[in-house]
Amino acid sequence: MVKRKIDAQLYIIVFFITLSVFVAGLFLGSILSNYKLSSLSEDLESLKRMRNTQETNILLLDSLDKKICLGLNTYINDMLPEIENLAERVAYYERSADSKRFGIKEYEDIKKDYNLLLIRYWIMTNKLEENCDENIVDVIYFYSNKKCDDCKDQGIYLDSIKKQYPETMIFALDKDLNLSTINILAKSFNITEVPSLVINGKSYSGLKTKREIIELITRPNQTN
Amino acid sequence: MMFSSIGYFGIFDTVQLLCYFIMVYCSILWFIVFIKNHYKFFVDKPIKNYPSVTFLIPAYNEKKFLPKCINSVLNLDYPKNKIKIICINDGSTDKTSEICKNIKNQRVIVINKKNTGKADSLNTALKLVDTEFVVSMDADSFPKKDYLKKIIGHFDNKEIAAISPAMKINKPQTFMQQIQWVEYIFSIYLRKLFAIFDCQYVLPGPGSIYRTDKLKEIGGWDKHSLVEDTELAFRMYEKGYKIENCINAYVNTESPATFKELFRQRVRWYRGYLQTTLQYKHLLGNSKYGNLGLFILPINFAWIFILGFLFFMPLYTFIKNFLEYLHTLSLVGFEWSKWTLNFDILYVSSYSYFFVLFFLMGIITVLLSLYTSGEKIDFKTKKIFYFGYLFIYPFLYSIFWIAAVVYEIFKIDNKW
Repeated sequence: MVKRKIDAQLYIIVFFITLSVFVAGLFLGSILSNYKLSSLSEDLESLKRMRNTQETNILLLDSLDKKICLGLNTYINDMLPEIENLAERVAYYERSADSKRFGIKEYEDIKKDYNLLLIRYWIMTNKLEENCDENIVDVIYFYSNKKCDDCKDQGIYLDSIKKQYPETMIFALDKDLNLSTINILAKSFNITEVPSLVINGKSYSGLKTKREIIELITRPNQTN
Repeated sequence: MMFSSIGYFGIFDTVQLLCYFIMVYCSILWFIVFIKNHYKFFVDKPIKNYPSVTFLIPAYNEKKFLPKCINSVLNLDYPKNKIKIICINDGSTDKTSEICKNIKNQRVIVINKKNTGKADSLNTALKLVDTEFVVSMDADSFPKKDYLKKIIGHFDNKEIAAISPAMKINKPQTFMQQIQWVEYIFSIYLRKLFAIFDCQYVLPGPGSIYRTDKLKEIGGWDKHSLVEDTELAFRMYEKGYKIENCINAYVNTESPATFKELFRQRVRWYRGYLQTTLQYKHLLGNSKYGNLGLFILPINFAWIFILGFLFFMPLYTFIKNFLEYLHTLSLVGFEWSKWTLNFDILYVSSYSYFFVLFFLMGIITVLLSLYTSGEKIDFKTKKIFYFGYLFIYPFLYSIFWIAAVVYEIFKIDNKW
């Protein structure tokens, strides 16, 4: 009968090596995720700088008693491609599994900033429509990532609308953020559930299909 | 901000990371075992006096390879009067009987009997063996000329009861054979590591060599086992024998050519393994049986789970994405989406680290396997490119294992 030896020491050493490999993996994952968040917040910062310039221009024109339409138009048109790009990136990040693994808190801060930026942009589109006889098709979309089965479908419909009608401006606002500004906006449009849409200033609760939305956005604007 | 905070890892993520942990753990373990023992790999042991050896060749309908097998044994580089062959015709229905009848060599004994299976054939022949050592040689396998010279010296330790050789696939032709060629190269490396770690639990049919007295002592092969070569190794561990491996002694073996044949072979092997571990469950977690009992046998169960998980996880993700795509189609119909080739840091998954890690470990394992099996990295020969199949192999391996587990649980007859 052979006396069999057990490499207990080896098992323990290998365990600690493996553990360090995993801790290193978590750190690298966290660093990588930090890069991703930084890259999103860089986009956001650059947009904010842009907005700062444009808003100052508008204020300046106003104080000089000049027409502000030129300023408003530049505001809307210059920032649009950047905003759409960021919207796509945010949507991609939110779908990826990593958004749940790392940097949840950090991402929430970025998202709040981003949602505020969207709301300010939307306010400016309203100002443009009021002051300058321009017509913009805008859709505010209140959604939630939690307990909202219809939000997924609503997202699919809106993506498709954006493809078919690229000039439509869609502002997706996350109700889960519990941002006071979003809450005020929701309250003023009597919105209590998700998904809900505000199309050209009129609110619609519940899931709206692509066909229904197309009908609403192509209908001539009924302003008083 | 240097790091981002760590969020919530769901149950799916946790199981996945646990699987990765075991995979990395095993890789590092084997790597360290290799580093510490690599000098033992190619050691040749001197032969004091050439002991006599009997080769047992059980043959059931093996007309195609049997003559070549017998010839390769007769032509071994070893004193001719020290080699005996017992060829067992296990009730063959083809020309095997004729071939056996025509063998005119006094060193070859032929036994004709009714068909009772390989283990029983070997046992029948074992009774006639009067040499110090005995080799089981599958009829479709061919030892290299120096096989016996290389392997016999390793019996210098009296505790060693059996030694397994290094096996290679003979002339891989079909896709399935080429995949097996790679697998066998990898097995040569792994089997050596297992032997060094004292946990080699298979004594392959083609070319494993035994001390006759020890083999007779424990009663030879078990005719009720699906995998008599594994069962025998387990029994040797139970009885406290030592099993060695010699990577300098080569045996070339024929292999299943089609998926169907390979599937049948593997389901039998893996099912047999499951049955054998359950039969010897008193070895599991028992430190009396060393690394085999304490680590290898329990971890093998984890491996079966990992294989299943790593197989079903991508399948699940794929089906889920596909259903989501169908759902989108049903809502808005087909749409062209614009594809940009721009790199975005967002596309890089935090698990990339593990994928890079696994890839590196794979490369290291392939290189060490090539080193162990004496294959050169030669891009002129086709063989080096067979390693590309390593990307497909895990899927095949998982399918075989899952099938084996399912067949075993539901007691399905292993005939397609």
